[in-house]
Amino acid sequence: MNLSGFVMRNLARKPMHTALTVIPICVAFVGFTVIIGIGNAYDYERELDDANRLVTINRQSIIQPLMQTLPERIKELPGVNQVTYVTWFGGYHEQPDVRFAQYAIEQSTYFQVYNTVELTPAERRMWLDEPRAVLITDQLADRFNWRVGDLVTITSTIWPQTNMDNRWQFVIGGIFSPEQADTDPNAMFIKHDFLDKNRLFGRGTLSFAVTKVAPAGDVDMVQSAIDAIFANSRTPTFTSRESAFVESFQRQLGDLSFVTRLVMAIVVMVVLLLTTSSLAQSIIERRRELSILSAVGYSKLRLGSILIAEVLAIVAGAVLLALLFAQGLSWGIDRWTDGSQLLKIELNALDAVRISLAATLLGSIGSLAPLIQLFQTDLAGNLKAAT
Amino acid sequence: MYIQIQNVSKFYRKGANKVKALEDVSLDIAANEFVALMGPSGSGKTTLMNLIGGLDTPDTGSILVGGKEMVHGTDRRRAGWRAENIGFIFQFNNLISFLTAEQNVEIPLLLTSLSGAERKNKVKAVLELVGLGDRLNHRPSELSGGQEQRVAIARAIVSDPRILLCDEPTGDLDKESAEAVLTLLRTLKENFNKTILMVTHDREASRVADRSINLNKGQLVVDQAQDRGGET
Repeated sequence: MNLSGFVMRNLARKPMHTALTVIPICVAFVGFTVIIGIGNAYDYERELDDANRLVTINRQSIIQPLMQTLPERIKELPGVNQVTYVTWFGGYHEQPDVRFAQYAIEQSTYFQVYNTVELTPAERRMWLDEPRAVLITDQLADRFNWRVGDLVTITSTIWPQTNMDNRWQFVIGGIFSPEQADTDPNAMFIKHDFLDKNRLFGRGTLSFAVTKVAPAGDVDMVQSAIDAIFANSRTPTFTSRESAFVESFQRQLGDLSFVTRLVMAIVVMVVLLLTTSSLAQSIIERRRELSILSAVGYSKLRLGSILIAEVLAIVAGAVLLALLFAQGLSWGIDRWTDGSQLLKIELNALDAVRISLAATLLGSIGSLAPLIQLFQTDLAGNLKAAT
Repeated sequence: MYIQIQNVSKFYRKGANKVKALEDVSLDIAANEFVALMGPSGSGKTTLMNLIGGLDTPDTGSILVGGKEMVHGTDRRRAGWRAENIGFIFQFNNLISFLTAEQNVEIPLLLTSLSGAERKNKVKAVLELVGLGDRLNHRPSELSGGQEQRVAIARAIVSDPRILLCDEPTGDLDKESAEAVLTLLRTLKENFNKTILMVTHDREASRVADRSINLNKGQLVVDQAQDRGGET
């Protein structure tokens, strides 16, 4: 046995007490870790953002459509390089729970606003010539084992066809890497023309427009100018930078920074309260034992170190469990959402180190008051009282 | 003289009152001497023992051990001094309940630079010396009172201190176990040159000592050598 063995044996002597201390700290850190993970995913979204891109939606609601005449008018504004538009398709494959993102894109302009994707000559030909052709990400192709030329059926929850059937048949026209187009890892691009010609209603509309401002253009001015054009129309617009547009999705999960602060405050309180009370209780319960250790030559400083080591072992155990749980949750969400960027928890080694350091710091701070209590305890007096 | 106690006084505060525990006590104990410290409850026996053991410090007077004034510095220095020079044995609850006999005895050695194997060998030898070589992995709850006390003695001597301070070591034991413990203490004095100070209420137990000292109301009242004609 060595001193660390002594610490571990002490933790194991009252498993229920140790578990009841570890669990709340673990739960608090799971919350903290998950919030950090969501924050990371959000940062990832922002990394994808191009500062020169503006997204225009219907001011009333993101689900209200805009007219297809809008991009042409935006393009006339000074400083605008290109404008494209997208419509949500809102479909699933075979089963309603087999979902992924489908965007109907305006194919002549989309890849001028976003980076172009690399296609083989055969894929490019297919994409240009076949009205039903769709482009899919390599991850989606792997998921469904789809290959170029395959016929796939997607059921739209928004758009029925003119024949009232909402099952749409497409041809896989090309497979690309999502990084190339700054898009969701599980995305399908449908030709907007094809959607428009065949949908029962909503022709001539779009879900949102994306404007690429010229490098020399003033993004803020273009942003104001777009909304000014449509301010008095039947469909007033709301234009924001792409990062803000993505953030609006995140906001559906709640105000992240407020939740982060709230969870951090709870974690700090829980860890401080539990470490303080656990250590104080331990010192009271183990007075006799501490007195005997003092008699055999353990200084109060050493006894304090042993007690702090016990607290830190509890906190470390709780943090480790929390990190494992959060990692499991991240994996589960990834599988559940098929890697969607809209709901994601991303943890990295640096966060794990930061969270561990924060836990160590909190555990140490929480130990201060009981340790002062230990240093003021008359250990010899405890021996006397017992004899 | 190995232990010299010179005009030592100790007072405790109880609320606004100052309570006298020891008053102007002077006493010499020779090396390898076995001294029984007797007296009624509250007479200052344990206080004197704690002062000699460096668990407490006197308000006035001085204590010299081996010709050197005892360290009255920081808690850390006094603890270091205790680890090297003193072995404590108490009346009850001597052992740490969740550790085995072997681990309990090993505790003082964790403060030394000995390797794990060296510690293990030393612990085993000491437990065999006290007759518990076959109880290494027993927890205190699996030992009798006498066995527990012998483990405590093993722990007290494992780091080979010169002085053993025993506070009522037989107070909680039946006659047979008490006799075994006293015989063991006597053996430690005879064969291992330990200087032993034993606090006891029990006149029978005190007979094992070379000398008996009585305290009353914090003052030394009797100090006499004992005739040990009948060995324990």
